Formats: sequence, structure tokens, C-alpha cells
Amino acid sequence: VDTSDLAAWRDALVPAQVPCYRHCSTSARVRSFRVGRKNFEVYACPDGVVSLTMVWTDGRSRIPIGDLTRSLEQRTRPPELVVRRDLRTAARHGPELGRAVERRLGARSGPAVPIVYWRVYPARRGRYWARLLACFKHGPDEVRFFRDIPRAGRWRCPYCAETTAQGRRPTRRPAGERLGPT
Amino acid sequence: MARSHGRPVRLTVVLADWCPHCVPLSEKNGKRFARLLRIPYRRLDIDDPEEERQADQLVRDHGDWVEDYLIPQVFLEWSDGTVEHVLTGFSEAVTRTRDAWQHLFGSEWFHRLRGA
Repeated sequence: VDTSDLAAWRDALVPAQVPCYRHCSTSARVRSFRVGRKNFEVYACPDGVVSLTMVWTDGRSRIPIGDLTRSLEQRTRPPELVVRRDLRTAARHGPELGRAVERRLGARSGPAVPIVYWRVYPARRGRYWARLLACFKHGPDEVRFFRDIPRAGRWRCPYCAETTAQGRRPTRRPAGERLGPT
Repeated sequence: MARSHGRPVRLTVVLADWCPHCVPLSEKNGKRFARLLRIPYRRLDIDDPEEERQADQLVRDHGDWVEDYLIPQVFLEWSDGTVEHVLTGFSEAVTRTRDAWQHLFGSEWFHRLRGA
């Protein structure tokens, strides 16, 4: 796949934002980075709550789930949060992405772009919901995942324990998110 | 996806009633798709044990298979026995799945299919 094809696929495959999943009414914006040939698209709301992580390749070859699992485990604490059952695949073809993409990228019978979605569902912690959070303070092409109770954008990244979503030291513990319908 | 021969004979949507990407969105569009091609429509509900068995087989053989696979998944069956995976729901948002259906109906692929 040449660079212009890659850009066309990215435009078609990667929305800039999606609704925040079962957490708040703001949008989850995408943060993109690459690991080898894999493109990671992490959708997180301003509180750092991850709605979805989408992984796709520009080689149109299948994404080995074992390799992807290891990549995610290396960036997740605890690594046991990465469960194969939460990794779901989809193959995308030109026609479902719009006529311009279809014309550019060829016939339906051609190879599809494989995608793997990783969604970690909220887990109850007492009265609150613990959610997957992402810290993007680990370099331009890096992310770290962990689970915690989001408190108005304040949480401790276990990798850089002194900071919060806004980069400040936490001074108090605001009320967490109360239990509610998901 | 395999190149198909012959003529389309049935459209199948693997779905669940609780899934907003499935009902009513993909059921409605699946029926429209089948109606425009003048072929039967079939729904396979993963919450019905017998239909789930058929759905699992279809997804395992022709679709986007993992143990807890995404729904909906849409398949077009051909007269030569080929089964073509048409669409898998978009986890990002229901609006993305809706857009995908609209793109499919407007695609050159679908227009060729109707003319076949």
C-alpha cells in the first residue's frame, strides 16, 4: 500500500472523534501512534477514559492477535487487563467506506483492511465504576493504559505516579463516579 | 473476500435484539438490501441456541471470527455456493454502522450487483 493509499484508508477508517462510551457526554478524541506496521488509534475523552482502541495495518495482512496482545500488555498495568475476549476483529472493504474510497482502493473482491478493536468494559469497585484510562505523557508515539475510577480528570498514572490527567499532583480526592446504568 | 460467481440467492444478518447496531438499523437495511436484489432475507439471532449455532458456523467460515465476535455481520450467499462477507458493525459508533449501510447502497459494487 503506497503512502497516498494509506492516507485514504486512514481518512475512511479513523473518525476524529466518537461518542464517549458509557462515561460522559463529551466526545472521545483519537490519538494515533504506530508500533511497527500497526496503527493504534486510541479514543479517550478529556477525563482520559478510553472508549475504544482500534488497531489496523497498512499491509492488509491479518493482525496476529498474539503479537497485538503482547503489544498491549507491554503498555498496560496490570497486563492482565488485556483479555483476548475483548479483542474483536473486522475486515473493511472499499464499498462500505464510500464511493471515493471504493474507486480509489479497488474492487470488493480485493483484500480488505483488517481491524482489531479493543474495548475494556467498566468494572464495579464498590459504589463506583473503574474504567480503562490512558496516559499520553510517555512520548509522542506512546500510551500507557491502566484501570481506575475517573475523578473529574484526576487519577494517578501508575507509570508516572506523580501526575494526573492535567499533569498536576493530586491534592484531594473528589467524589468518584457513582454507580449508574451503563 | 472471495470473488463470486452466479447470482445472489439470500442475505443473512447475524444479530441480537439488544444490539443497537443490529435492531432496527441492520435488520431494516438488510431487508432493504434483499428486497432490492429480490432475494430472501434471513436473520440469525445469537440469543437463540439453534440460530446461534448456524451464526457461529457462518462467521467462523466466512466472517470476522473471534470467540466473542462483533455483530451485526452480514453475508450474501450465491448460487454457486459462495458466501460473501458483506459487512461487520463498526464498534466506534452506531452512526458509523449506519453510514456503512448507506455507502453500500450507493456503491458501484451494489449497483453492479443489482444489474447482474
